[in-house]
Amino acid sequence: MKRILIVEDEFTIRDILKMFLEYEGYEIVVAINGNEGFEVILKNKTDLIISDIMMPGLSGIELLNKVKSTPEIVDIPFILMSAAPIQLDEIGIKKHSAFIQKPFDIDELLSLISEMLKEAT
Amino acid sequence: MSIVKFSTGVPGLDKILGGGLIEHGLYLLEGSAGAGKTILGNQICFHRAKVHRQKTLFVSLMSESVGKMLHYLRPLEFFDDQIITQDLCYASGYSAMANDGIEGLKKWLFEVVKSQKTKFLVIDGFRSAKEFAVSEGEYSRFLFYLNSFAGVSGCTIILIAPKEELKSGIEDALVDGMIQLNVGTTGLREYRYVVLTKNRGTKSLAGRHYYKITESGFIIYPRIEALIDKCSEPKAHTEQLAFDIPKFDKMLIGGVTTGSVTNILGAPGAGKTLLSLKFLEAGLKRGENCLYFGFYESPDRLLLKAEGVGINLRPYIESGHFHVRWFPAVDQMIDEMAQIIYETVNDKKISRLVIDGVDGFRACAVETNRTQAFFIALTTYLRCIGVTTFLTEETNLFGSEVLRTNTNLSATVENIFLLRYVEVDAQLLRLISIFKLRDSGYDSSISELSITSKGIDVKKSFVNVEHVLSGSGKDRPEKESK
Repeated sequence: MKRILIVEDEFTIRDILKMFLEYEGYEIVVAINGNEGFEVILKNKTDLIISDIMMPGLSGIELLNKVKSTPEIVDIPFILMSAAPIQLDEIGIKKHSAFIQKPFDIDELLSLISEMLKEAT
Repeated sequence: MSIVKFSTGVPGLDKILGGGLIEHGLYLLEGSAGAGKTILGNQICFHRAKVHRQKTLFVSLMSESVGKMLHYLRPLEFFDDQIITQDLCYASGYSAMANDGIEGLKKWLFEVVKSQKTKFLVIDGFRSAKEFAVSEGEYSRFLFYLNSFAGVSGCTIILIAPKEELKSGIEDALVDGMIQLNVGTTGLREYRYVVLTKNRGTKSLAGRHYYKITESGFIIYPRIEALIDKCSEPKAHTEQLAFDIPKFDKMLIGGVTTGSVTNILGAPGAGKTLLSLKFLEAGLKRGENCLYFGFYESPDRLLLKAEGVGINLRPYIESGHFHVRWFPAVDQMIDEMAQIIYETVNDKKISRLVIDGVDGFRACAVETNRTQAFFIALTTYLRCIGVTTFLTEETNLFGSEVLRTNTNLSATVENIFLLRYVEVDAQLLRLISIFKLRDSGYDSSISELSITSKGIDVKKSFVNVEHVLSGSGKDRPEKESK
């Protein structure tokens, strides 16, 4: 079973995403900000990370940069999500990363997850 | 990411909403008993399922059976049994909520939405959730959950609830849009109107908009004053349009300007309708398309009346150039009437229009003090599309002063003609006078309007008579007349 980490400070979004992803058969771990998320990634095997951008503490982009500069976890697929549009090119990181703008259709997110997991294997 | 909207399929509602409902939106549809909340919710569901082929779910949180509700909806034209078995599902969430409270309902809703791949969800009887919530906080969290759920699942949600005067601010704060249905009365008359009290991220039409529930479901008539800012600026025209009444056309120095609005004032029977029809006939003879919109003469009576003075309009009806729309001035909605005018004018490419008359609209209006603003909006729209319009308006039959029954339209119109009876030498004659002709000079003499079986004509001016406008002309003293 693939394990996905959801990093989201907003409880209801985190909760609903968890419900949808569990329904699809994924194992879900959650974190409420980037710092907590990074600790989870280091301690547990993580197959994919979904992170909000705007969070107190370590932001989603900072978490992405941290993950992509840590050799042991550099290849974990990473999905950033935010209500504000961003271009991944602008933050200089492309490998195994994607962005999805809120609000999104859950089906869109699910296909992105399965595509990225497939690529990673 | 731009805001994506989808059509509700309810005539008039998309215009009010500024294009439709927003995908991922959470809406509160509330209204008084009998206002039609459930019908409106279902009508949108059928449209969403039938036209957009979206998986749609209607959930009832009330103890009454879904079957009974469907039984009452079945006679409505939008209802389609085949859709129910395909893209539209009905379910009751009452048991889940009654057994396990709000948490049970949340879990149940998630399972149903996920398994049905629902993209449009309506929850009827939503405030029942309040009764099953252990605290107001739990109810608020449930609303917050639904708001997020709409955002994450890609599902648009409408919550249906009875109107509450003292509702908690949490609903107002957490929904993206609020549609309020109301039933009002004036005298013995009942009327219904919708108000959009909130619509995030979209420019919508403010104020009250009347609606009807017919066999085809909801029909909403956006208030035309709210629509008018969407119309382009009227163009300036110079072409003069004649009546084919030689003396009168001479008085008008050619005619009235294309795209202008003329108010014909006159006592009952003074010839307002016939003079207007003469103007339409002149246009029809030039190959134009014309519309008569009236409240008083039924189409057959109107044609007969015109034939009585030598105006034969029947061939133009048969050829599709002349159109008559008639409605008795009882219990009509003026925005509906305006919409019929808009649609006919656009569909039939109408260039000359007679609205007979202003008083019919006033009789139908729920708020009579609205008439002036209504006509400003209506005439502005007609000018924008270059339609030359005549508005007849009744004045008093007796008395020396000309009394109008309506609000003052003088500033709204370019031209004003007055028709009235005048007693001269023990004879009752009709007079015609041009009071205002905005775009050109005109002959201001007061002349006799002759209406006989031979036709309509403007004859001599009342040069030897004074005080004719008072209705009782007196011979001018000989010295003066010389």
